[in-house]
Amino acid sequence: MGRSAALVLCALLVVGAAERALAAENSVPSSADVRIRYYKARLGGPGTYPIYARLGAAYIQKARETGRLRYYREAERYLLRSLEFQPNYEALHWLSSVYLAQHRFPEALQTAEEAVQAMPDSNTLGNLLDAHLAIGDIEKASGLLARMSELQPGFEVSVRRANLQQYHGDLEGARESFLLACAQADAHALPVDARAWCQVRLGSLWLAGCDTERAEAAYRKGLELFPAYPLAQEHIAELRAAQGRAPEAIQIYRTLLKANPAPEFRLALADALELNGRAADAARQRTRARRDMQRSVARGERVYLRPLALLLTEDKASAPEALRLAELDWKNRQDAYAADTLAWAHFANGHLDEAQRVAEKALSIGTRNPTILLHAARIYHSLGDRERARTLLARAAACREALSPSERAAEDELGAELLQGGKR
Amino acid sequence: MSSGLKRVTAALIWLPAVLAPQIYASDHSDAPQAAGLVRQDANLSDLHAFVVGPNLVLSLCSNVAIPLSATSYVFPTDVTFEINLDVDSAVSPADPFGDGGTILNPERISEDIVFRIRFRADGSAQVQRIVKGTVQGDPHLVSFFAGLRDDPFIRGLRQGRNIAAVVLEVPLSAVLSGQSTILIWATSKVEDFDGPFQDLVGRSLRSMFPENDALNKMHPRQHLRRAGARPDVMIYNTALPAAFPNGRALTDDVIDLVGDPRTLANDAPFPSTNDIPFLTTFPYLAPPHPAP
Repeated sequence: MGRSAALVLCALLVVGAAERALAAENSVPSSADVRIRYYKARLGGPGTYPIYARLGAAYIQKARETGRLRYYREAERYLLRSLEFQPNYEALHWLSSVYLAQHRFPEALQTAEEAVQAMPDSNTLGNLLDAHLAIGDIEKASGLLARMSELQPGFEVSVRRANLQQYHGDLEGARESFLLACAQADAHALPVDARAWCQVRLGSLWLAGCDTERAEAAYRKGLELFPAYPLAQEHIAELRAAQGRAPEAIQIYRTLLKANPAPEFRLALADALELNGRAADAARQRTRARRDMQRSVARGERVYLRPLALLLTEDKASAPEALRLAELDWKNRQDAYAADTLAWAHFANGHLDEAQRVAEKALSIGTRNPTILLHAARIYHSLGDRERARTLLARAAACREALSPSERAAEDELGAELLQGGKR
Repeated sequence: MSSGLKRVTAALIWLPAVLAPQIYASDHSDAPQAAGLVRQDANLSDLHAFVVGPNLVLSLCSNVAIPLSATSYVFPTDVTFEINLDVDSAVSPADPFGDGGTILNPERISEDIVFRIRFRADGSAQVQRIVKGTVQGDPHLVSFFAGLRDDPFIRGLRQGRNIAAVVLEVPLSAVLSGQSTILIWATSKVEDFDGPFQDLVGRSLRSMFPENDALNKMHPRQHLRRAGARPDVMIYNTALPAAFPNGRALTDDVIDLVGDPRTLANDAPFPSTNDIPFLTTFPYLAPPHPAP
């Protein structure tokens, strides 16, 4: 076979695989698919700007249902078109949702502010709050929560309250707020994707509190509400990995990857493979995830800035690049997670004092996020402050079930190192 | 160098893979929206009716959520606006509820004249007149305007805001049919994936309140029988000056005139006049605020 014929065959195989994947994805039209078809049939000139806005919203729904980021790009395209025809509040609001999902926080903030000026309701205020929370302006986020509560208490308010509580490390409070949010979602018969999402978030908070049974029950309820919901499947896989049931986790991640080859699934799969003693397979998956994330970042997308920065810290040669990406991430958002990423990247580059200074920013909110705590523990250990390292490590390991396999390994290793210097 | 110290030193230089953080967890904390957004471009906000010289002026406003950046307005093609006039319903001047009179046979309210307004994809308007047999004259359009204007609602929250306005001017003599009192109401309708949306506006500050929300989806003649409510229509005795609740002049400060505590409570800074002077000539509504 000649080279060109081989290339053609290869291309046909790729196209065929893509078509099969698309056909599988579209075999049962979701409510988002039906909605998309409905609005597409009604597009026209400038006077159809509300239809463009609603089509954009339908693509957001599709993105949420499938976890595929490309649908956010479609949503953005239609929403911008709607705004070109006529500035309107609906398109502005949904565009801010798209920017939040794409981690374009400065844009999300600006667009959400414009939407709030147009119509200060619980939808627009909620997105503005999310943007402030993402960029680390907790004071403004809290002020907006108070404003939302006064305006219209309900699901939107409960969810934002929970997010703020979780951010501050109040996991119990966050759980209570999510219990209320899910009850409100059920009572008002909200769309199934919203109700299922609520259950998954609740489950993750049960897991953070070491209650694996309730976590699983919540994930299962999410799946009952929305069968094959990728977010619920992903969390069950995460739970399985945390339970040491690597083969089950691997199987779920592989299924998820078939429908959506997202780098975050691939990294999780790598972690589960590592846990299962398949280091070479794990390394292959990590390499591919790294390549996919690098391509995304090269396109100017910001969703993978943080995970890629953290991944690159694993490799000595990539540490400067990790720091560059962490600095970009910090420019995009100044929340505790961005501070943690930046601190960790500084640490990877041997900038211990800078790492400590930035890590303190991440810790200052009272977080109980194990990744942040483990990183800070490692930084303090390297600085020779064993006592602080022990305290942080103990907080990180308060619930072993909530740690990922790699976090457990990190916790074990640091614990062993600290033991060499005395009692833990 | 001990093996333990070696590990610590190594950690200063680069990080062992085992310390790889949980970097894969997807960020899915963005809250989904609880419900769809109301079509603000079909949401009616104000209806004014007053007489200028020989003409009846009807002004219908919609879309309270126009962003400040808008400098012009394109009406959506899929919304149907209707301004309805009942020119022969019997009305007593007795006015126990501040409605401008009492409709004697609420279940017989019917539209004798309908101005149906739709917009083409290029933004131009299409006004259809539907006139029933009881009307003797020809209620043709003397003037017509559709576009962005300053919001004429005299309310603190609405200062500095623009609105989508449709203003018609028709000969009063062509509208009247044996009596000077007419009933006026307007509707908007739009089909959507989630079901049809319909809004209604008649007398100011009625169907905007939650307890009267059901009125928006019914014909005014059904309001009493099906919802136990007085019909949400504007009563206007054109022989008398327009002054709320008799018709509605642009200068009427209905927030104060109605005095509902829910709207009074957030009326700061409690204006009693519009933030931009109204025009003395057609289309009477003040020009829009420029983009900031």
